[in-house]
Amino acid sequence: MSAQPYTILPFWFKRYHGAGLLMVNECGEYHFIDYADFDALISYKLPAKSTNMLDLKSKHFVSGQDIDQTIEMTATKHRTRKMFLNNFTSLHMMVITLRCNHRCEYCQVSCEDQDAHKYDMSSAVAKKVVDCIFQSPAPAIKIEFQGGEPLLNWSAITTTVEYAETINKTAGKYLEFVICTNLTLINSDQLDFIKSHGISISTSLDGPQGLHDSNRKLRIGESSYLAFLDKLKMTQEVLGADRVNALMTFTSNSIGRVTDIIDEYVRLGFSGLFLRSINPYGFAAKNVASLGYPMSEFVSAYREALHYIVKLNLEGTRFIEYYTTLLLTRILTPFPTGFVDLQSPSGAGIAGAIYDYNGDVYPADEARMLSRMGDSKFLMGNVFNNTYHDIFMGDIIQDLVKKSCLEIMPGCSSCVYRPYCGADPVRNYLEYKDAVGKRPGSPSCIKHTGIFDLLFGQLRQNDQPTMDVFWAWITNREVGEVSLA
Amino acid sequence: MRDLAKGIVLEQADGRMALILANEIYQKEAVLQAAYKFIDVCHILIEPNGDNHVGVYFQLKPAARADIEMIALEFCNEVLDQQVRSDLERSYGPLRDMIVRQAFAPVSKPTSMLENKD
Repeated sequence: MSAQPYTILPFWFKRYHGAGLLMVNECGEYHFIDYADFDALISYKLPAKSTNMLDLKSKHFVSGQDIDQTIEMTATKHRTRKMFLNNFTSLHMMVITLRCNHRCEYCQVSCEDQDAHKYDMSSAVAKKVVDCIFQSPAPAIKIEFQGGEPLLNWSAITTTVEYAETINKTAGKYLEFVICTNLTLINSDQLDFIKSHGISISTSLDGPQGLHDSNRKLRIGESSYLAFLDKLKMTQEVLGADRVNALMTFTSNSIGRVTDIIDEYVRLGFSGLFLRSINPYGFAAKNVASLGYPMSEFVSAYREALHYIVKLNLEGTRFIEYYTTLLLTRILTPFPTGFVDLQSPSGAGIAGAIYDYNGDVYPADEARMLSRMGDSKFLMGNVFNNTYHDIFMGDIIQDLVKKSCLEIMPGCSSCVYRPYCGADPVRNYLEYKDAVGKRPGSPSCIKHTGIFDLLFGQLRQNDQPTMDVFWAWITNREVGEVSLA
Repeated sequence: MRDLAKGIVLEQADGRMALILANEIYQKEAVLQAAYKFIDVCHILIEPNGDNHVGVYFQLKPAARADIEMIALEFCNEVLDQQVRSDLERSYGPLRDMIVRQAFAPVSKPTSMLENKD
């Protein structure tokens, strides 16, 4: 029997903004505490009836006599957070073609000329890929068409959709399709097909015309923005605005322009934005001097963007920052969020996989990009040459998963933000030639610790209107619906 | 106690360098893993130095164009990184193994879903 009045369970902490400490435990509960009470806690002198003690017990930082129950509840919450592991690969990305009518400055895949048809996925490859996809045990399957510009190989898309739907009549999975397109080539026949098959559109918009055109260039030299705008309107009219989402890539040209970018998204009818930093692959790696920036610049821009978006919401414009919503869901709820790019273990291969135009399979788009840069380290196999089991149980994917558990990664293992964060072994390999990588000074670590610092600063402040906005995003409701005021 | 005035590297000569590491802190596996990363630019010898220390001796390869002192200093950070990895593996390796098993469980039992459907 312990002589102490209570048992302290494992937790991590960091000094927070000079005003106390943030404590986080294995099941993802967090608690702010001032220095005096923290000292009292670890000296076993925190009063049993104090507010802090009651909170700490309810969040499983501390246990009284009921230690077995507390551990069981902690374990249950931990299992819930890892539930994304239960279903295996559900996101399947198909590179329909490497051809593209754009030649964007930051293109991660080093796309090919519009007439380079040898980089198209054939119908035979597409069907073989679908056969492979349907061997996944996942009950929900999302097939995402990527490029290049996938609309340039439209027949491969229709073949895939129709073939997958036929197979699914027996497989009975929840089946979704997304086309990632710059939209500039879309026509009404394609939109009719897209609508009739319930396909969603993911497009790209970097901001107002000047900014968008400076990053995203049509090969024929005209404004890509004007071409995009025309087709966006048509697409939204046919499909409805809710089926069209956009991604933006933050380059050095975006610095100081975040409010302009957000205003543009709102003006064009988008319901939210995913603020995405540039990836150092393909053309982006070659153009890093002109497009790159220190990651601290991105964190500053993210801070400004979040502040502005929250203000918009409080003024009555519902608009979501999707990355914030994802991270806050992890922090404020016990539920898992399967985001391939930020999971522990990494979602590469076990949550998402990408099939190149020739049937080669990679655990992540970045791994394919790396291969385009000459290093095929993460090539898992080919749908013609290897079985599903060979590809998805092979050494490459197993090694990747083993090396991407934050629990055993130096720097991450003891990080207060570990329960909410994730690993990017492919990016680590690119930067350090080692899938485990190094955290101090790494761009990914600067980005995520910076964003978590910002979000926990907001949570500590606990400003009610701001929290109402956050909860509205997490629960997919209107701000007025969650407001207690 | 290490004399800070002498820096991290204890012995230095033309293109050669020596580091002395405490066995109490660094284990053989970490030292070997770290040393291996430098074999493209250096010849490296590792041997006991008394009962409680290990000596790591670096000599630049003739064709290598590198700063031997910088290599030895980088080695210090590398051996620390490897030791932390090793310690974490010992502490949390079993937890990691459970997570990995869980991650691959759906594929390890390919028939289970079909059975459920029936």
